[in-house]
This record gives sequence, structure tokens and C-alpha cells, in this order.
Amino acid sequence: MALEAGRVPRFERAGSASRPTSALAERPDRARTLLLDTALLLLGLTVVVGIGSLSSQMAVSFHPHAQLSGVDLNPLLLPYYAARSSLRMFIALAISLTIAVAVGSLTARSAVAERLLLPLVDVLQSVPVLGFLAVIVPFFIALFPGSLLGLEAAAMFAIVTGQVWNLIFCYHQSLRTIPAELREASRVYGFTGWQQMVRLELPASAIPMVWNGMMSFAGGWFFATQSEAISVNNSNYTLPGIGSYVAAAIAQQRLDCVLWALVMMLALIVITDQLFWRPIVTWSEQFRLDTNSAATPSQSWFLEMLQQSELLQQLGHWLGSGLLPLGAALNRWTRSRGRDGPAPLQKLEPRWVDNLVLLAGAIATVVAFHHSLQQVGLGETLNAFGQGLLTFGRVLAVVGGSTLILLPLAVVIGLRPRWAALLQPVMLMLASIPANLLFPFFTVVFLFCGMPLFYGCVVLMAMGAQWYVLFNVTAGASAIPNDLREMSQVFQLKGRQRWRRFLLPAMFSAWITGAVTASGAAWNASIVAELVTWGSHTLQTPGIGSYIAEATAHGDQPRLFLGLVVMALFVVGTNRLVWRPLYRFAEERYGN
Amino acid sequence: METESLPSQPLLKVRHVAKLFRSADGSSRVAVLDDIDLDIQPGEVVALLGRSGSGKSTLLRLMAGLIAPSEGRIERDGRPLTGVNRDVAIVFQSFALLPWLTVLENTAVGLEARGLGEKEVRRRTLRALAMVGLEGSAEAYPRELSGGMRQRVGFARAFVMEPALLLMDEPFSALDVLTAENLRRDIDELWAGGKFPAGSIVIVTHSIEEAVLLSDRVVLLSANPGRIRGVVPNPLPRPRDDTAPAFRALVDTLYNYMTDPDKPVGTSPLAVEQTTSQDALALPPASLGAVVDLLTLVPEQEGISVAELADELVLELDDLLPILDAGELLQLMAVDGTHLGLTALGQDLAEANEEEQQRLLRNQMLLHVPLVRRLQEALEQSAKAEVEGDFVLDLLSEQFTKTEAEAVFETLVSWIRACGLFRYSREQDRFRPGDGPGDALESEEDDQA
Repeated sequence: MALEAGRVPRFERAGSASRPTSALAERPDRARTLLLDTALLLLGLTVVVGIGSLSSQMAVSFHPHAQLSGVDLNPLLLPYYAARSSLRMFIALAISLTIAVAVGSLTARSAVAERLLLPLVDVLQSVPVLGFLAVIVPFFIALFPGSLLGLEAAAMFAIVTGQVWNLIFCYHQSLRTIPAELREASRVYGFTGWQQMVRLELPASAIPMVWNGMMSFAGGWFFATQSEAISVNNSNYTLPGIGSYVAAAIAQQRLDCVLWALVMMLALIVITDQLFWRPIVTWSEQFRLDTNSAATPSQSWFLEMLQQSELLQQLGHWLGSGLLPLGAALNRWTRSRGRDGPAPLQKLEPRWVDNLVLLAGAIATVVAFHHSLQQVGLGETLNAFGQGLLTFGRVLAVVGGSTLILLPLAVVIGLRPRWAALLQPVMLMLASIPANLLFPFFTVVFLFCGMPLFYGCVVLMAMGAQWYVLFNVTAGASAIPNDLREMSQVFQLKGRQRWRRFLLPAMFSAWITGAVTASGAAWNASIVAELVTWGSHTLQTPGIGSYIAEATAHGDQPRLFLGLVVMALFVVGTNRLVWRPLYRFAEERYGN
Repeated sequence: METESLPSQPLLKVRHVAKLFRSADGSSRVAVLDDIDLDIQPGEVVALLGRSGSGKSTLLRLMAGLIAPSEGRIERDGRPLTGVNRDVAIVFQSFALLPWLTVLENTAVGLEARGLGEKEVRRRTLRALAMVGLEGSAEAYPRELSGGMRQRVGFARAFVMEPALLLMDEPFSALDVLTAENLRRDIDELWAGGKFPAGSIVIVTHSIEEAVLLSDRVVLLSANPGRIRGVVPNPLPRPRDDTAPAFRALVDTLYNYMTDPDKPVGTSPLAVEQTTSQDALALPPASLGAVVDLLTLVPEQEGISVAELADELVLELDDLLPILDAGELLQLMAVDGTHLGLTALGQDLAEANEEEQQRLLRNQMLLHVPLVRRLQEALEQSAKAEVEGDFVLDLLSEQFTKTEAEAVFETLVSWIRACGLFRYSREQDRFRPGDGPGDALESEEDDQA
């Protein structure tokens, strides 16, 4: 062949004494490997020691009447506060994942559990978490008397309740969609319960769970920061963390400190993304169920580093062989007693459970209102509903406004693949910034120009919520198949027709997903947005959010209870009466 | 519509057009199309025939004005084409119907865009639907239709525009054999009857029979980069009979050109020059298993005709040709015109047991596949006998776009695994030497770990 003679391969030319090009071909040399391993070892040690010392501080003694004195506004301490907040976040994530796997396994296996638990989970996920802090903080403090652990637990509880419902649904859904043949294979080959979980169910749900976990984690920062400094029953509870740092900065009117906290938060988001989520997302791609690979495989420099480390490989081997007996034991325990392996997924649908759930819900609502009527009277109940309507209007304004403003932007970005690839991670990071860290800047502006909070709080509520609209609609636009785009160009779809016939329907489902999430975020934000402070200045506007916030601060249990019930009713009501039907419509009409 | 109409002013003039895409390492640009010269006359049907990688769909999109040429120019009615070509309608391979619109609404989008009155739009749309036999399904949604019916909507949507030029991008390849045949016949009959609602047609295809059935001339494209090899006129009378000897003869001629990329076409003065540097590293996208399977199917002494083989295996030419290329690259097969024969080694391999087959394949790969040899040399040079996957990708990315480079990389991995030449762990992204027979299995395990 001509090319055999004509071509001198690169490596023959390069001689053996010095091989400048062969470094490319080889695995990293000794020195680099050693350096890498040392760096990883140091990093690992730092993390272990850090977690150890941080968690030892979780249990320091605590007196309920200590004020905000614990927070030092020195910006150099911010990394410490950030570490405290992140530790809480990661523990909460671990708890959430465990609960999700446990409950999801149960609901996927038992039809009764499914019918009983899923509606409950659905209602719980629409309940505003922040409102419940007032109820759970005293409970947890009583659980760990004299220790900061009670507050820590309450904060984690708030974060968990912010993300666990979503994860339960996700896990349940992934188990439900495991291909029937894989299920059958696991039965035919007599998988034990343990095998079923580690070999089939966890891998099959890995990708959606990782993505969902990442989104929930981003949303969790809001609850993490907000639950670090709350006032319940006229006393302030403070946990060291980035949220309490901002709270202290607000009390002392230090805008510079708020800015530092924001910078720290951004750094924290980037770091967790690069060192935690990116590697996990990349790693999880091996669990793709369809055999064709991802369109754009994601990459992570940190994961590559970990995979190249020989130390870690060795460690992995030791760990693997050390855990072998445990796996064997678990296999023995979960071996099915019957001859045909673990029970198949049940298919029967007991109607009575549905009715039971409905009945229980109705009774709970009636009892709740009866209780409220007795305690605060009809006038107050109607007042609470009026306040609820006000906030409902604001939520609508948030969703509508952000749609109007961001939809064209999302289309512009989404239809340009390069822009979308560049901007989508940025959007995700921006969405992770807890909106309450931004509030002080707006509060100052409102105070300065005398803008009434009645309208201003819509902007505050939109701060966190808008990203969900932007993010989802952009994803929706970039998911429009290329041939449809070409079609719209060739057949000259323009202006109104282009929007009505092509763009709006194409993005409708994505918009609903974004709008549902955005309205949930807006309801939660109303509790902190309808009552804002800056030093001694307080801005307040009527609404169910400020109603709850006020009742919380004053320890007014009956009003707090009433406020929570009213808000939950509004949220569940809009979910059931507006979003769910819209979603179904979108699936029937616009699905393929 | 008459085929005799004199070529006065071409509908579309393509002059010295090249389309370049950025190579994977960003250092250079890879030509997908190069120096394309083509006129589309009013009233003719032109088939663009080429193997995958010949840029035929890219050429179609250039004509539609969906993308702009990197070099050269395209003229419509004597003026340079800027933006989307207003003369054209496209029938897409994937139908490209909007799932949220009814058949009627889908068909009407183009007329609506022109701002016609509602009544007029409805009248014309129904007429177009009647033409493709879908007047009864006007209110249905695309998902309620079968694939063939969906593509009929695609045709109706194009017909209703009465375009001067109808572009068809492999319109039948997403349909099953029978449906495709049916639809092709309908199109042929409409054209032959002079009732076709478009001035000219350009159809992109990799099916030779389709090209012969529908076209007035066939433009043959070479691959990597796409160039025009030549034009074969198709004077067969319409409607065409695919069993007629003249039809079969033309199909055979085209087969001949397709299986031998170096054969000069017709009167074309353009001898396709060898693009050795690029072909040197490329691997045909076929599996080694398919190559071996095919070897055992070819009668040893006398060989077989490629057309016959494609027919027998019900393989598209696009799927068959890469296998033949791989066989030729490994010097196991020899294609002479449309005739496929086995080399002596190919005959040995066909009869050998599995272990021996793998050994022979390893040998042939080391001898005749440049990319494999580069990898082998790199492995020998490496102190730890390991080579990162990036090394191979770097070699490839000098000459290919990212997707192409990745495709070749995947083919390489599948080849070395199939015969156990080297091992490759995807997790660590490293190549290691294989240690003889039987480690194909091992390397798969490696991948799982």
C-alpha cells in the first residue's frame, strides 16, 4: 500500500532517548501520579477533619435566649459559615435520598402504599415549608434540650422537607418505568431483594435521581439560609451559617457584608458544582438504560483526576473486598422465601384507598377550619382568605410577568445551540442563589425611592421564581427537533403565526413545568418577601406570607395555624385545578 | 412540465460551492462539500446519489438556503441566494410534522404564512390532501396516522405551496419497504401524468432503484469530501417499469459506480483525486462481525454480484457498502465493478474456526489499518504499555470533525475488541495490549468494572 511506504509514523521519528510526543500517549508519569495522589490524600484528610470539627460544633450547648450575638460579621469568617451551611445541606441531602429510596421502594411494591402515600406526598410537597419552621423549631429544641443540635436538626428538617417529596416521586417513577423484561430477568435468575436493589433499581434510577437531586439541592439553599436565623415566639434562634451571617448584616445595616456573603455563596455554588455534582453526573451516565450513548456526554476534570489516582483505585479495592461479606450477608437475609423470587410489582388498584384518602383530607380540612373558627372567629378566617387572595394575585403576577419577559429571551437562547450550551449551566447556578440573599439590596432600593412593598414584593418573589421559567423554557426551546426548525424556515412561518402554530405549542409542556415550580417557589418566598427589614426599618404589606411571618414572630399559634392551612389550600387548589389539568392537556394534545 | 422544455434559465445555479465545518481540534476546517457545480433546470427531476458522508443532505440544505456556503455562490433566477429560498418546499426524511396541529393545519402552515384568506387556504389545502389520498383524515392528528400516511401529509404540505422546486431529503427511508414502494409509485405516476404540483424536483437518496425510478438525471457524489463525480442521464420512459431490461441495466451501471468510488463517471472529465491523508486513518463504520458473516455468505470461487447480495440480505446499499469497504481494507474481499469476490486470505478466514479467525483478523489489522498501527507503535513506546484514548482522538481530530472523529474512534474500539487485538477500558479511557486469544471477553469485563 502506498501509505505504508510514504508515511513515517510519529514515534519512529522521535527516537528513544527523548520522546517529547509520547507523553501524550502514555499514562501520566510517576511524578505526576504521586503529586495527584498526594493532593487527593490531602484533600480527603481536610474534608474528613473539617467535617469532624464542624460536626463537633453542631452539638455545642445552646441557650434559647441568646440573641444574634453568635455571628461575627468579619468577612474572613465567611468560609467557616459557608462550611457549616454546606455540611447541613449535605446531611439533609443524604437523609432525603434515604427517605426517598425507602418510601419509593415501598410505593412501587405495594399498591396500597402507592394509593395511600403518593397523594399525601403530593399535598406535602405543595405545603410551604417555611411556615412550618415555627412549629418544628420548638419541637426539635425540646428534643435536644440545651444543645445546638436541636436547631441543627430543625434546619435540616426544613431542607429535607424542601426536597424529599420531589425525590420520592422521582424514585417511584423510575422504578415504575424499569423495562418489564429487566424485571422478569431479575425474577427468573432469582435475584435476592438486595440484588434487586443494587443491581437493578438503584442503577436504573441513578440518572433521574442525580439530576433531581442536583435541582433539589439548588432549591435547598433557600431553606438552608432562611432556617438559620428565625424568630419564633418573640425569641431569635441563630445557627452559625451563611444565612445567619446575612441576617446579622441586615440587623446592623451592613450592605458590604451582604455583598461578601453573596460572593461566598456564588463561590460555594461553583465549588459544589465542580467537585460534587459534575463528577456525579458524569459518573452516572454509565447507568443509561437505552444503549445509545448520550448526545453530549458531560465531562468532569475532577472525576478524571479521581479515576486516574492509583491510591484511590487501591482504596476502592480494599473497600470493595472489605464490604464483600456485608453484601453476602445482605443477600442471605433478603433471599426470597418463595420459589419464584421476590414478589412482582403489584398491579391491583384498590379503589377504597382513594376514597379513604379523599375522606381523610376532607375531614382534616373541616376539623382544621372548625378549630380556627372556634379560636379566632369567622371574621379572622375570612381575613386570612382575603390575604391569601392577595398573595395568590402576586404569585400569578410573578409567573405571568416572568413568562412575558423571559419567554422571548428563552427562545432566542434556546434556538441557538451554542448559546444554550454556554448559558444553561450559568442559569442553573444563578437559580441556585438563594433569593433571600438578594433581598437586602432590593430593600435598600425600596426604602430609598419609597417604593411600596405592595408591588415591590412581587419583584422579590420573582427573584427566585423567574429562573425556573427561564431555565425550563430555554430547555424546551432547545429541545425542538432540528427538522421542525428547518420546516418553519422553509415554509416561512413568521411573526404571529410562528408563535401561535410553532413556538408556543412546542414549549408549552416545558413552560408548565417551569411555571409550577416557579409558583411553588413564589408561595414559599412570599413568607419572607412580604415582610422585610433593614436594621430598624421594617417594610410590610398585607398578604398571607406576612400574615404567617407575623404570627410566627409573635408566637400567635391560632393565627399561624390558620395562615398555614389557608396557604396550603391555595397551593394544593391551584395545583389540582389549574396546573394538573393544563399538564394533562399538554400531554394529550402536544405529546407525540 | 414537459421534459423537452429547453433549458433557458436554470432555476438554481450552484457554482464552485464548498461547505466546511470546523475540525474536532479546532485547528482546521474539514470540507463536507467541495467545488460543487450544478444547475437545476425547470421541469426536471434530479437525484443526488451518494454514500453517507457525501454531503448530499448538506447540498440540499444549501439549495434551500437553510445554510450558507463557505465558498462559492448559489444563484436563484440569476440573483445570489440570500436567506431561505422562497422557491422551494422540502419533504423531510423524518416528516417534520407539528404534533399539535391537525393534518389540515399542518398542511396549511405554508399558505397561512403567505397571508392567504382562510377560505382560499382551506380550499387549496383540501385539494392537496385529496391528491395524496388523505381527504378523510383532515381532522386527525399526526400521531393517529401510520408512517406512510404521515409522509403523505409531508407531501401535501409541500404540494400546496406549488413550489418551483421541490426538495426531498430521503423521503422514503423512514418508511417500511412496502409503504415506501407504494408512495414512490404514486409520486412517479403524478409526475408522469403531468399533474405534479411542483416545477422541478431534487431528491436526495442512497437507494439506486429510487434514483432510477424517479429521476431524469442522477448526480453521483463522492464521499469525504463530497464532490460531484459525474452525471448519469436517465432517459427511460415514464411511468417506469422496474423489471424492464433497460431499467435493470441502468441500476447495474449505477451499482458499478457506487461500489467502486474511484471509477470515473460517464463523460465527466473530473477524475476524483485520492484523498489519501484522510482515508488513511478513516475506518468504515461496519462491525468486524458483519465482515466475517458476509465472508461466509459469499460463494468461494465464483463470488457474487453486489446488487444480488443486497437484495438477498435485504440490506440498504448504505449499510452494505461499509462492510465491503472494511473487507477490502483488511484485504479479505475484492470488489471488481459490481462483482464481489474473496481473496485467498478471505477464503481461509471463512473456513477457519473462531480462534483462528481472530488471529487472522488481528494480523490483517496490524498490516493494513494505519490507525491500528499507530496505536500499536504508541503502545510499544509507552513504558507502562498504556495509551490514553485521547491520543487516538487527537490523531483523528486533525482530519475530522468531532462527530466523525468520535465515530471512527468507536469503530476502532469495536474492532479491537472483536478480535482481541488490544483492550480498551472506557472508564479509564485507556488502551492496553491484548494478551492473545480469548481476551475479547476480558476487555468487556474491564469495561463494566
